[in-house]
Amino acid sequence: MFPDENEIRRGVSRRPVRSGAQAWPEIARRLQPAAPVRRGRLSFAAASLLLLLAASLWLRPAPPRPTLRSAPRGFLVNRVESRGRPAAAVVLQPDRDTLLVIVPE
Amino acid sequence: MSSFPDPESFRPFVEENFAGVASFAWSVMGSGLEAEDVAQEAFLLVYRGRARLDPARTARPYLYRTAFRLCLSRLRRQRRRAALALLAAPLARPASPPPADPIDSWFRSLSRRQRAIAHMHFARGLNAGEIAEQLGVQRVTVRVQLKRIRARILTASGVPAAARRCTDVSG
Repeated sequence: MFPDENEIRRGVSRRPVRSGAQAWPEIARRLQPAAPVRRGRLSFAAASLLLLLAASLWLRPAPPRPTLRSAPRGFLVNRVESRGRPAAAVVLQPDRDTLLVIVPE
Repeated sequence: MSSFPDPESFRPFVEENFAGVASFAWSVMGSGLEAEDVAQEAFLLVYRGRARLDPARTARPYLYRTAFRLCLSRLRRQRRRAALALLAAPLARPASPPPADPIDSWFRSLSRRQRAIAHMHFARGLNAGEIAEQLGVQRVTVRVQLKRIRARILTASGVPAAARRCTDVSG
């Protein structure tokens, strides 16, 4: 649709936009700098949170390292892993074709 | 010396130009949904950048240029959001848009730069030189775009080509 020039003028002038006097209070509020006390409190809260996070990371216990264990019948276990099965499980391979997985109760 | 040393000194400038900038943003955006928001943001940016303004000259061109850039930025954001929404739900039926105002539809049929030029020319009555100064583009660019905009209006209203050639659009 292509209105003529007068229609465009009329249409634009009829738009329901607020006057500058009505819009001024909101703009004036946004022109004010943020209150320094509030900004100080926000910074303090952010710094405390950061400190807490750093402290919890620092004090976290180290993950247990895999240890060598001996099976009761003399098999030597040279590798214990905890991925994909209970952490305390022991895997034994007495020969090429046998694999034993011991899971404690 | 700054143009607006404090917020209160900025008030007459806002009161004089707010409605005009909001209407300009409405034309460029093609709808009134974000127009007043863009106008407010443009005034805030002008106030924050007041140190760069020449106190001897009016800040209006800077205000309109800022509003135009904000409109372009918001339109880009809208397009990205629409593309993301389409990706997220390609089969969802889009909500039917509200019936559009014919003037808004007409502005949306133009390119973004043409929308700004058409608004300044038809609604504010500025000539090519004044529009070029306010938008920060070449005067010849404004003339060419105005010619194209007028040609579209005349073509649609059935004015023959010979008559169109006689129409002066340079302003």
